[in-house]
Amino acid sequence: MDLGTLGAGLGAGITVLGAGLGIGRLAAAALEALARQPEIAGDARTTMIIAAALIEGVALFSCVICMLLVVMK
Amino acid sequence: MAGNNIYLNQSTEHGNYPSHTTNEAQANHPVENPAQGHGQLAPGDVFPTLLSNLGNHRQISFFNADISELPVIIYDSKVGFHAYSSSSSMVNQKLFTMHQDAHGHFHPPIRRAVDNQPVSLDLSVTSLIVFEWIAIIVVVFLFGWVGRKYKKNPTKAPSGFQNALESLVVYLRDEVVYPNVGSVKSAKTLLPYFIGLFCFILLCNIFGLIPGGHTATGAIAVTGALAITAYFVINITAIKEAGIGHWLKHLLGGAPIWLCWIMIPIEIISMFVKPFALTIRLFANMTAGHVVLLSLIGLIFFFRLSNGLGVGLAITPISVGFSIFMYILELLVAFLQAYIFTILTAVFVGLAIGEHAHEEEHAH
Amino acid sequence: MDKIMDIEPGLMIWTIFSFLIFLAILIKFGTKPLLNGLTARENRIKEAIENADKANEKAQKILKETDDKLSTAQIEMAEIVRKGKVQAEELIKKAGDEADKVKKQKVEEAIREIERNKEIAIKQLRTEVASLVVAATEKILDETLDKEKHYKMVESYIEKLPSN
Repeated sequence: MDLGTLGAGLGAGITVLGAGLGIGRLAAAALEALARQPEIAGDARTTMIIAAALIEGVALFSCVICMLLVVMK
Repeated sequence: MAGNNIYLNQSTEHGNYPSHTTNEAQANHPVENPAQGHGQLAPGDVFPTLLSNLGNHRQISFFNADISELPVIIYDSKVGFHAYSSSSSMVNQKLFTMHQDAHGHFHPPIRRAVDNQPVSLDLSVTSLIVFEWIAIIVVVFLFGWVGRKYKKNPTKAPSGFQNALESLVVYLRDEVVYPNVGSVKSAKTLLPYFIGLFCFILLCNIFGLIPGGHTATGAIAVTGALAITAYFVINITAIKEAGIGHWLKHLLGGAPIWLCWIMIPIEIISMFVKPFALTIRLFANMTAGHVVLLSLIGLIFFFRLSNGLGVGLAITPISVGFSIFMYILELLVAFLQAYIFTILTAVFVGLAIGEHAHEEEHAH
Repeated sequence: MDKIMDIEPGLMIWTIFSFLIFLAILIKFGTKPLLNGLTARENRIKEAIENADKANEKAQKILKETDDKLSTAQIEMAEIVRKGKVQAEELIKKAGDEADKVKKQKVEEAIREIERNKEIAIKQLRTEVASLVVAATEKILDETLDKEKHYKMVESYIEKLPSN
């Protein structure tokens, strides 16, 4: 195993850390909002999914970069 | 690890095929019969071999059985426009060459026989395109069937499959398109586009999950093409709704004019980042799931080759259990990503034309 | 694996081309009739609900009218019954009064008759008694008294007697 592959793996791991934290906080906030105002469930769900998709998109960018590091070496 | 070395050689020397024919022959598709033993396949080859199934292919195959080769269409600035019924007939005509591995599978790039340079545009029909077409045919068939029912008796209550499709369409209309696009006129025009987009992505995702199928949405070119159409839809709708002047003004992002030197580049970048994010999101979601799934299955063969039959058998239940879990997760992701691509496109359309509605509100 | 990250322009062109044709066919044969059908059905349901609302309103109106009519009829009926009762009572009272009057008259007549008869009888009796007494006294005293004196005496005696 060379250092490049190691770096890519570590990068993917750190990315997952950030994305997991972000989406977790997002879900927690959405749940709190839902518990406080159950009548906005539909709106909150849509907004939550969009926000989660945006966070996930950034995370996937970095995962793709990690993949490129391995593939295009 | 010998296997890894072979793999790395293959990737570094890719595109220079005569020198690594033996490596590729070894690396591509030797897993077809893992029981053949250590002589043919090193443990490290298992994962690259399995993952090579994910890409685009020049033939239709169901697992390891090749069903048929696909037509080749080439446009080249020097040789001109050429079409062949299959890769082998193209090679037989001697005008172009393509690398063929030990199993008879062809691998791009296609090169001119004269100077051994890659052709300018390879428009061949490939396995992913075939799967796109299957998805298209299924969607058109289902919608055509239901549409005929509506044409026959438009006011009758829906029955059977009509109900399912109708609830999907009504959901997309009332929950995804109309509230996010904002303008009713544009939403009405764009609704068929969003329905088609959702169904196309969903069917492509699901065909990738059927054993033996290929995921068309697992290629950047396909998701990129969808994002390019989305880009045009977003901007054309915005220009139509607000006029070209407003659209240009929108590039300022509402900031004072002296900030244009920073706002215009940012807005232009964000205009292109949106479809790029759509591309990468769909591609990475579909590919990542398949990579994990294939890696879990590959563990069985890896341990069987490196540690013997007993360990391979012992790892099987764990591996299969996890892959079933992954499979169900991928099914969820297939629906979720189709939904997210659709709703994000709708949101972007709404953002692009929203500014206009906002300005109009101020003017009144 | 390295093929995964490839961007093949041919695939992209085919995808755009296929997707656009797909959209055209889908709109022509799928979504257009479907959405038209949906709108037609929605309009029909809306119309049906409106019509039902209208019919309901009409029915409510008619019901109210009937109710009104019914209650007026009931009031009228009660009035008639009351009047009838009053009339009947009046009639009964009238008849009773008349009967009472006639009875009273009869009784009074009878009483008057009786009184008259009694007076006649008493007068007769008085005359009878006086003559009887005169005769008897004449005989007893054997003396002839002045007839007029005599009468006066007897009369005064009789006056002293109770009237009945």
